[in-house]
Amino acid sequence: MLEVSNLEVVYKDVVLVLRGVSLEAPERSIVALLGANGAGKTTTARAITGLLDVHEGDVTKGSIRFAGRDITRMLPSERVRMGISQVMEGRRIFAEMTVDENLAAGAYINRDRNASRKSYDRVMALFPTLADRRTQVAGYMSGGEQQVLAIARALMQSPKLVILDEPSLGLAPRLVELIAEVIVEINRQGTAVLLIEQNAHMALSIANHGYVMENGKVVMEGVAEKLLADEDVQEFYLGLRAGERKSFREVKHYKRRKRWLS
Amino acid sequence: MEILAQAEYSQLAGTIVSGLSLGTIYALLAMGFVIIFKATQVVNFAHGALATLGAFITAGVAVELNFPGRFLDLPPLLGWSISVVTALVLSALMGILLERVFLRPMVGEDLFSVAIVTLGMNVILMTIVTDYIGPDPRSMADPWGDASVDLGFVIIAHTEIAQFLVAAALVVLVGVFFRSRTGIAMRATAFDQEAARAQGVNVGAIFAIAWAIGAVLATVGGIFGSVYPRRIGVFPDTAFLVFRAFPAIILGGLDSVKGAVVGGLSVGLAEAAAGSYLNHPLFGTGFSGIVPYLVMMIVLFIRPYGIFGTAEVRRV
Ligand SMILES: Nc1ncnc2c1ncn2[C@@H]1O[C@H](COP(=O)(O)OP(=O)(O)OP(=O)(O)O)[C@@H](O)[C@H]1O
Ligand SMILES: [Mg+2]
Repeated sequence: MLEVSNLEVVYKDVVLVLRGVSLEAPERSIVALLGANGAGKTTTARAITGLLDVHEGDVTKGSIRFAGRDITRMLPSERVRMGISQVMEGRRIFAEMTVDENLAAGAYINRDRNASRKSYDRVMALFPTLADRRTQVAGYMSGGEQQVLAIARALMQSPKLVILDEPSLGLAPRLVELIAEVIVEINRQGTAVLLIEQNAHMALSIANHGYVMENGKVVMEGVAEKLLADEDVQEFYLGLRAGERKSFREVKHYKRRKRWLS
Repeated sequence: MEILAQAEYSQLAGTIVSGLSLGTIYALLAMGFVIIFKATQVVNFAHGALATLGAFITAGVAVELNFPGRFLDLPPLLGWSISVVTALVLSALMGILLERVFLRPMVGEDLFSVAIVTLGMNVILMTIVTDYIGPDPRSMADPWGDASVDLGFVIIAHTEIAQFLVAAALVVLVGVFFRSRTGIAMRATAFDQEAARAQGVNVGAIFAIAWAIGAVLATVGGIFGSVYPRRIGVFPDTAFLVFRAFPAIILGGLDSVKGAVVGGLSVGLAEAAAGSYLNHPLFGTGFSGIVPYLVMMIVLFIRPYGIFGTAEVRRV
């Protein structure tokens, strides 16, 4: 459904940040996009949703296709209408507005009141915690509740694909688990998910497929279980081996050399 | 004794009426200014020019064009209301055009540079006003003239009654607007443009709507600032009304619509009170004109963000 091919993104006309990224998110899938800080995950998300311009970024090569159409240069609002929603990094809820108003803002593209009502009911059924806080000012809620609200707001658009940018960031383990359950449920109800995470364990345990990015490139991809079992991924992202953090490529290089030596 | 008390009572009532009458004008101007600032992050120093030009447009439609009078023989109030609504539509278009031409290219630039652009815009618009329209006042041709009602203890001009009703209606309308789909999108845009765009909000359209609303409110303020008992018509210096509304804006908190209303009314009342009570020679004659600024400074000493200014609720 989503096909990103050979994407190159430049910020401020000079900073080349994505160097030929290709990835796919088929219908009804959960796809994990992993990578260290600065790898280019958020930039990839911005390119897909059309929000690069605010950051003076530009797609200089490659293409993004969604549901059979080339959307590389489409307006962000049109992409939302086509069914791509994004839960931005850092939640970015409208802190001064109430929960209900945040959801109404999420339903902006929906002119049809009945359809809005339907997504609203669906979201409330999915997140009972929000139902109790409808008139609360969003900025005063806890981090976990805010993340739930950010996801709920995106679901108001009844997306075909939802991109979640580090939804587990800053949350306690129990809440990370809750978010994982929410993602699985959303997916079960028919929405494809592109899950950007640094918490590789959480992401790979619920994803079908995974990509690992580094320095603006996809350096590894595969079936989620395989990635989860992969030694390099384990070492670098799952912290299963103590020691200073090296670049993923260095780890790989080092291992290769070791193999070659033996 | 009795008579004296009555005179005092009547002076107080008179002061309140003229304070509210001044205050509602400030409130209308402040509200438009705040809406433009909140939604588009533009500190609009051309707001006075918008009010002046809007009032000139109204005079143009009602008198020069004589619309709808030249086509229809309507009761004066109805005919004039149609003229005003027409002028408001033109003002809204003017606001949209100004944003598109002068401010859209400045999106993303810092607050200060953008404010300077609006100063330039102010110069251009005021030049148009004085050059093309001339220095003579233009009558609003309103149906009320200098008629007033005497309630015994106080005299209220018909224009003032109209002004109170219109201002109250506009405040309610603005409140309703901010709960509508577009209004919520505007608040979302004001809070976080990128996040609003991620919801599919067309931020450019929101800017246009904010400028349209700002221009309409400025025009209404300009019209009521140009009728009895304030002036005999719109002068180019109607623009100064906005400078006197600035304290109201700052007082209420630059980014609060509620603050603009409360600030406008308080500044109007304070100014009127100073005018009628502080008549000791020590204060001189122009003292009431300074009062808005004094009130503003005192409030800012106590509350640096104004009465309703954002106490940030962002939580990280
Ligand atoms: N507006 C910008 N201008 C210039 N460079 C930028 C801009 N935004 C991001 N970058 C750079 O692009 C690179 C990729 O950033 P990006 O935010 O996409 O990474 P990320 O994988 O999402 O990282 P994180 O895990 O920290 O969120 C970084 O080196 C960053 O410094
Ligand atoms: Mg990121």
